[in-house]
Amino acid sequence: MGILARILRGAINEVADDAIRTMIRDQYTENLYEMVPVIKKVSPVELLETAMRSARGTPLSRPLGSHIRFSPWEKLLFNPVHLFRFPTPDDVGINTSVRIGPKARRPLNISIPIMITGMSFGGALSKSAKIALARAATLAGTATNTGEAGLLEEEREAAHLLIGQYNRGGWLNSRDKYTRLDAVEIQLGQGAQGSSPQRTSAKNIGREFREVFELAEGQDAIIHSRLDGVNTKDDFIRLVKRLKEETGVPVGLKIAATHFLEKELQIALEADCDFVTVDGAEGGTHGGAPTLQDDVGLPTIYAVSRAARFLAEKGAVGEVSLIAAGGLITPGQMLKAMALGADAVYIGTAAVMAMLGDQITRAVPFEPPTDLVVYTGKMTDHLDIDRSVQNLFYYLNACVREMELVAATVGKVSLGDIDKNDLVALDPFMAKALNVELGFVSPDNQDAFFAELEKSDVLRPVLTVH
Amino acid sequence: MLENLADFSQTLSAFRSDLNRIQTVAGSLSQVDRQHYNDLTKYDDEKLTSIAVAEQSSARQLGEIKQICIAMAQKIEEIQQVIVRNQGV
Repeated sequence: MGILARILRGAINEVADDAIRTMIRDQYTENLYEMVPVIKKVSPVELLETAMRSARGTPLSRPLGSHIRFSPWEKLLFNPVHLFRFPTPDDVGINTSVRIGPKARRPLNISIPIMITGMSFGGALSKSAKIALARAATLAGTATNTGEAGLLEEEREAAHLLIGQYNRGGWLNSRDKYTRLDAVEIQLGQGAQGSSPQRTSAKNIGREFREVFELAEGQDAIIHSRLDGVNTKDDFIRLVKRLKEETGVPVGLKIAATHFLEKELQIALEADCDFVTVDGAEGGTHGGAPTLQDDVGLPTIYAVSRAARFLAEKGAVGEVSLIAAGGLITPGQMLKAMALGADAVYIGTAAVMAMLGDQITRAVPFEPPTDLVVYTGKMTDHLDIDRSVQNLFYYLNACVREMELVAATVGKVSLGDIDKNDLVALDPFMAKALNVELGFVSPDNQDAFFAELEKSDVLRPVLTVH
Repeated sequence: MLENLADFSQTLSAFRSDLNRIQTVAGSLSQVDRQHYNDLTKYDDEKLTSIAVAEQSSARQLGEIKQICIAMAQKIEEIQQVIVRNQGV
């Protein structure tokens, strides 16, 4: 060991000893070590957001949704087959196409089961980001969604298939606009914000934003909690009927997932909706109050399962398409949502991250990557649209290919054929709730295992909680 | 009127036949594109891989066309059955 190393080692030892002695001798209230239990009690996110609230006095606008992973997707696994049933031969193509709203006069046909979710121009993303999303979706043979916005002409031109949100701001709700869409999604809520009102201040609204939203200078963009003219169930039913007659394209309902899911879906069925979009609590947003993101809604995994079961009970499977959304990041999660009953999925955060791909180096370490894509971002000019299109197209292709590989190993020829029987659960409560068999015991012993569990003194209080 | 219905039914039969032909061709082309993907990804070349990815996407979109044709042919068959029933009445 060299002289310098020995001196350094000695110095570090001296400092460390001194620090430890101080931490042991100082009163806890004067001790820096206090931060350790505090951070264990108040997470770094909570700590910083508490400080942010105290600095501003107004609700925070946290981007990309909740950091809490509500849906335990990792507790579901697919079941490969070998001899009992055979895997799909290599030379058999897996069907990945989906028909949304099969009963509509003009159903929406997509080549892959992944669509780009509603992220509005202006309210959320920049024009270049919206164009890139639309072009990538078109290249992959799928649809993109306007979000709660007006009709951005460049997006309409770039998107072969465009789903438009009939929204609570009213910006797309005129016949000249919604008749130019390939599907109409009546947006009454979203996972990250429930059905709460939202406001974009006029100071954050530029000329193009004003033009697309048809706002006067100085006017805020306001999303109301209710849709204008829809104050009763019958109002909603009349609206769906009118939109179906006027457009001929699939007309659906998007809601934030909620424990009242079945009651909401019952009305969607009475209104003869062609599709329903259920957005779980993990859903992202350009910016929303943390309380709405972390403490409101229902996790995607349970929402999808419940919605699918409800549609099956009502005999609506194959007539009303179910679209799952909310925190779906990996192809495995997306395919599990489909196995639980979704016909297709929406992605938002994952699409934005994929689109950015290697371009994040243009923003970090001094700015967050989202600065390249959000409408109010300072670096939106640095987004390379062609690169973004290629990144997202590659991501979608890779995701679907991974899904196809799972389809092959479970012995299916279509992604839509994968169902709950191809899944196994690693948690007894999830197995019961999702109606998926439990992986701990063989298929023949499922009933006996759960009967034993119910008799168990240890688990009885939990199992009989209701 | 009945004569017109018979003509209409024959036209629908022609459409159905064409749709079945299109879906067969789409299925075959989809298979060819899928094979191209397999062939092109063997070379570990960035340019060829990007072409392979485009081929794979084309294969899926042709697969979608095949499904659309099948659905349309089924719809036409349903319409023809209604015509036959009405002629019977």
